Amino acid sequence: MSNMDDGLNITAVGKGFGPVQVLRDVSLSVPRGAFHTLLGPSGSGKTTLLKIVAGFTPADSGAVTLAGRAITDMPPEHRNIGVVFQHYALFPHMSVTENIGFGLKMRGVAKAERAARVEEVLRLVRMTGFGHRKPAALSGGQQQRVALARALVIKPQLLLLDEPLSALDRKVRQEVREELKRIQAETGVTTVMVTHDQEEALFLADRVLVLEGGALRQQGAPADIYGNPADEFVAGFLGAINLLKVKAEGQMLRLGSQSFAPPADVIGALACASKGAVLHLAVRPEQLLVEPGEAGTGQLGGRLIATEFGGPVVTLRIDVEGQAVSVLSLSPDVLAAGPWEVGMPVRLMVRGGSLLA
Amino acid sequence: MRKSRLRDAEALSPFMIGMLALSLAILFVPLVIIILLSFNTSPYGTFPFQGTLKWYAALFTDSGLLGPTWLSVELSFLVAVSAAVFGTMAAVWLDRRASKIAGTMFRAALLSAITVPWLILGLAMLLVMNAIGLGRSLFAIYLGLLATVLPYVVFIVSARLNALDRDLDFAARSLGASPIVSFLRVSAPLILPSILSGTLIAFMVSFNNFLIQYFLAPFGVQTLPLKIYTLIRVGYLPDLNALATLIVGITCLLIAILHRLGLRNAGLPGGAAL
Ligand SMILES: Nc1ncnc2c1ncn2[C@@H]1O[C@H](COP(=O)(O)OP(=O)(O)OP(=O)(O)O)[C@@H](O)[C@H]1O
Ligand SMILES: [Mg+2]
Repeated sequence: MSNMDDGLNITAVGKGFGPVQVLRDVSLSVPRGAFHTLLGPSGSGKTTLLKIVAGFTPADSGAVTLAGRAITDMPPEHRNIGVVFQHYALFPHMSVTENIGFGLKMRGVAKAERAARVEEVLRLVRMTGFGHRKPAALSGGQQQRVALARALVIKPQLLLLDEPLSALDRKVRQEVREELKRIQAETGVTTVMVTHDQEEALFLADRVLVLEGGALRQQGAPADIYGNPADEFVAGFLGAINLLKVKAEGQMLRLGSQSFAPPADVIGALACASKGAVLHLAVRPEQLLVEPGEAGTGQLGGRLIATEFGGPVVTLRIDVEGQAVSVLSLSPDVLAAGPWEVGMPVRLMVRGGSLLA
Repeated sequence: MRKSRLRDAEALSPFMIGMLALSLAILFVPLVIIILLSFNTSPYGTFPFQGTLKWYAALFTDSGLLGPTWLSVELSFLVAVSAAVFGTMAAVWLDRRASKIAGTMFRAALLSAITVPWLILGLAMLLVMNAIGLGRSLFAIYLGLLATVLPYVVFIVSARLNALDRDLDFAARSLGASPIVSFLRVSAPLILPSILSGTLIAFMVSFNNFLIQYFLAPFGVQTLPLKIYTLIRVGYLPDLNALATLIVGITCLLIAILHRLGLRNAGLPGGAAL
């Protein structure tokens, strides 16, 4: 619990622009040293929330504390929060060294120490030797590293990153992403990163917060959020998912005219559902197993619509009583089970999933 | 760059090229003639051409043109510097304004100051100056010219500020800079070229502005445009051609400087100053 007071606490923050309510009653805690990602679609209020924490925008209601200090009304220059912007926001008229040294200069750090600390943080982000360059003479990935160095060198109590990787191409993004994870672990700085890339969120964070329409939908460990989405929105937002419309029928589930055995994951939840209730069974494509042939008892039968080869994996599209289902399997497994022909009957085994009301 | 411009020229019809040549000729032929005449011995613009520098000598010894020229330069310098200060302040306010309506109204007011003919502006200013007791005076000219050139600075600096990434200021603030320090260390250096461009344009517009000066100058005070106006009515010597040649030269220099500033700006993210 004392751990909580050390980090960032946001309590019931609300914000509107004119008639539009952008954030509704958002509360969250980031313990000291944790790496949380804030995930949500465009316009869900992620940047607005970061700006409130950084002090660039005032909140309409609610409170923010950092390391036990109330910072709700504190100007940004007193908060000691490092911010990395989506488009880097490096000062174009200053060299890399001057950019990184800016925060230290503002804190009155003497020239010699400043130089040493800039050098040290340049080494941390693997940019030694680039100090004299102007930002315009750096690649996107290099600029992002400098932006990170500039935010880290002031030894902030909190590091905020607003889609820091979105302006980079895919290969560089993966590279910088891994760097980011390493640097966060090395420095131990409490970090909140905004992204709308679910893969990035799951990879980097020890906790993912899903924001939609200005409200927090779910928060939890990556595997938890992925495996047990709280609702249809979260389920659909984090990767591909099949939402099967089913009816509770005692121990079994009914899909159209077929009755099949539920996966072990949902037996508990199914016991609580009233008989005949219409539910959604959320199943990830990789939680399904498919074989050629007619369905046996307790299995789901369908027809193969298409196979899509994707290198190491194959996606099979299957029609089950009018509902489209995709199944993801490793290529060798699919090839071994073949031959596959469009229109042929197939049977499905549901190996996992979760029930949504 | 040069190649694509050539291709554009080729795409123009002969008619367009003719019109272009004609307008350029109307603009430059008189200038060339004045420059030639300033080196010609005959005071009546007659040929044969005989080279001389005597009009330049006359200009700097006994022409009576230097006094008005210096008055114009000093006045315009003062006006341009004031416009730079107030114009930049106004542009910064426009950029950070809390009220959108106030900003829009201010912009509209500035725009009308550019679009209203100077003839009407000058007349209106004279009425106001008389009403507030300033009348025709040097200070009235100063105020009048300042009001006339201010919009140019505001619009040029605003355009640049507008193109500046707001996050630059946020970044500086999060690193510990107060709003003023952030402005001085981050925004100001980045908008400086546009401030200088605006100041130069303000200087030129102020220097050239006959109408405002005509309406507001006290009797006996002659700025260069007023002096030239008087001389043209009574007949003048080629020392005026010599002065005109010098002014053309200096203007070309200023434009070259402007161009350099524009280029420097274009190298920064957010685009050019003009
Ligand atoms: N200054 C502002 N004035 C008016 N509306 C704003 C302002 N800033 C943001 N909004 C609105 O608030 C909502 C949330 O914006 P925000 O920038 O926080 O979204 P986001 O989650 O960061 O989206 P993205 O992923 O596209 O960056 C949007 O609908 C946006 O239009
Ligand atoms: Mg955003």
